[in-house]
Amino acid sequence: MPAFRKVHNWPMQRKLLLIILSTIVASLLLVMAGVVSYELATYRDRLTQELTEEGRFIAANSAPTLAFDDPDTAREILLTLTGSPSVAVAALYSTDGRLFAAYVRSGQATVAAPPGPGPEGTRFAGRTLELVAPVQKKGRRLGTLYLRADMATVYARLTGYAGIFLVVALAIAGGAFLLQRLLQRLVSKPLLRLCRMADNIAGGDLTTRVPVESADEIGQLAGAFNHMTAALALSYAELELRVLERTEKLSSALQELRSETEERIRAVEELRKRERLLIQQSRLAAMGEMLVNISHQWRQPLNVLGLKIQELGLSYKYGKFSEELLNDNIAKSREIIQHMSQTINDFQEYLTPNKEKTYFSVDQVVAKTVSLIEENFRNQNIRIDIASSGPLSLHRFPNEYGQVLLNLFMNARDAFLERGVSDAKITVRLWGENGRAVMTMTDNAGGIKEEILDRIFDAYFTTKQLGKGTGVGLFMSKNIIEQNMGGRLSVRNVNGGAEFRIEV
Amino acid sequence: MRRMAVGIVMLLLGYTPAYAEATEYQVKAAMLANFALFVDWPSTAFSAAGSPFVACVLGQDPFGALLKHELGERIGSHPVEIRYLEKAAAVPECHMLFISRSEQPRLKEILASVRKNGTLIVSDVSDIRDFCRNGGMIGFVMAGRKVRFDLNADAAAKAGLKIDSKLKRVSGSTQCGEGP
Repeated sequence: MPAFRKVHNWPMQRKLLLIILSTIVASLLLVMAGVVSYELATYRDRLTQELTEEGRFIAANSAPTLAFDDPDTAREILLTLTGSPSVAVAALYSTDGRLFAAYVRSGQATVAAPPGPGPEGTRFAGRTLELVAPVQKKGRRLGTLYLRADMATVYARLTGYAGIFLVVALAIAGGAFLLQRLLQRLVSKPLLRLCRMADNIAGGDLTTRVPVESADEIGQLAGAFNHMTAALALSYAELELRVLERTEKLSSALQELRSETEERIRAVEELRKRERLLIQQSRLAAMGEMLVNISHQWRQPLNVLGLKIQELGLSYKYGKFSEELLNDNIAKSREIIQHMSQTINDFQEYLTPNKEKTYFSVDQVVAKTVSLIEENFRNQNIRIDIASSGPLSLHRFPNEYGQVLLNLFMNARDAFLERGVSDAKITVRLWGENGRAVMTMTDNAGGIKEEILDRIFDAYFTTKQLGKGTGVGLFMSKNIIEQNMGGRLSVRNVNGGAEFRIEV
Repeated sequence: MRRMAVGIVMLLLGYTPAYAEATEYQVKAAMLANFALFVDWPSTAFSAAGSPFVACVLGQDPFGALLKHELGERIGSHPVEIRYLEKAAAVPECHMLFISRSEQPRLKEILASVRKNGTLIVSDVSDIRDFCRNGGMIGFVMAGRKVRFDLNADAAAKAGLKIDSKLKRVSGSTQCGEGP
């Protein structure tokens, strides 16, 4: 198997050569075997025939020498047998059986003619053939001829064949050499050229072309290669063109996208700016509200403070001024001022966003919010009812929660004022449900129009008169409850009013 | 005579003699018979396949019974017939004519008078060249102790006889009438 694999890896030209040479050598060997076996199979018959003819010739020629007792001439005649290599021994005997003349092939000194001719006819003895024939003329016996042949001719002939085969083999070797050169020129070189071209193509050189020198398979292959290379070059060019086109399109699209993005960013920036502005406005509005609320809160104590100061003046005028009264008034005034200061603190604290989550009581936040606005609301004849099922605790941001409540209260007040409701009333209910704190705030201001019910939490959506509402309050409230606290702020209409619901 | 005596002694001893040891005329008789084997006569020389082969001896017969013995019964398909002749004038149609040494003095006349066509003329006269020059075809010569022969191929060819080329090879000369 390794030998076969070795042959498998040979260059094509050598393979072809191997095929041709093995064919020639095999046929040569077959011919040789045929010739040799034919020689061996027929040599007896041919030798017999040859020897018989030889005998006939010698007998005819030697007849007069026997008749006229001329052994010298007889020997001369026998010597002509040197031209017949198969004859090893020849002898002529006179009619009385005496040896008349003899011939022994040169180089065979050990062989001698037999003393007597023996019986007539041809016979094989081992590898030699003996012929005993009469020498006669016109029916008269003149003597006897003895011939002995051996295989020398066969061997000589086989040697001759071997020589021929050697010459042919040498010729084949020479032919093989020429054939190899020819094959190299006709097969290997074009193939190698194709290989180089393939390498060039693989290296990216699509301008490579192979000269088509023949119409055979290699020529066709070269043609196909050229065709392929040309097609490849064409498709490459096309591809490049397409890539160029696509790149151009992409870059223009990118440009568009970039400008669009820039525009959008600009728009967003604009929006954010406006939003900031709005938030600012809303904060200002809230502060305004606060001021209103503070002013309401302060009206009563300011009145009391005024009365106390007035009391001091009157008492002094009517001579009822005493140190006791003064101290009492100072203490009371201090207390009132303290209360007013506390109110500012409360509002301030109320408006400051919590940095961290803290535990707080929802009831307290509701109570505190109500305490901030109740004076204001009372002035406007708005009643606030609070119904709580029990203390509810949350771990969230209490100030934000309060802001939302404040916003809802303010919206309710605005609705009452706008619609002129006589028996204005806000009901706040608190209870726990599935581990959550639920608060509902219900008013009797007539409810929200169904067609805008699902838009009231949108930013900048407002139903209030120009300059009164910003459209940010409910949007911010929903954001605080849902984004910051993970709760839910929803609204629905109940009989004769709107009900906001906060679940945290 | 001495040679003959030796041959007889050898015969008596039962020894088969080689040509060299055989008597001269025994050899010559055998050679005459062998000439008949290596010479082809024209078809006109025989009236039929079975017609006799006529061998003639002109002059004193040196062979005796030897010739009859050596020629045998037949040459090819033809029965052998031997005729002994005294005079050339009476020479009949012979296929082979042996001119004995005794006819040496009259050789020219004999050769001039005999019909040559279809007749192989053989002799062992002493002057073989003269014999050949006058139309003789095969002449016996002595080479040492051996009996050899010379051929006059032209004369034989003129007589319509075809001499086997192989016979020419063992002959001393094929143109015995030519030269000095």
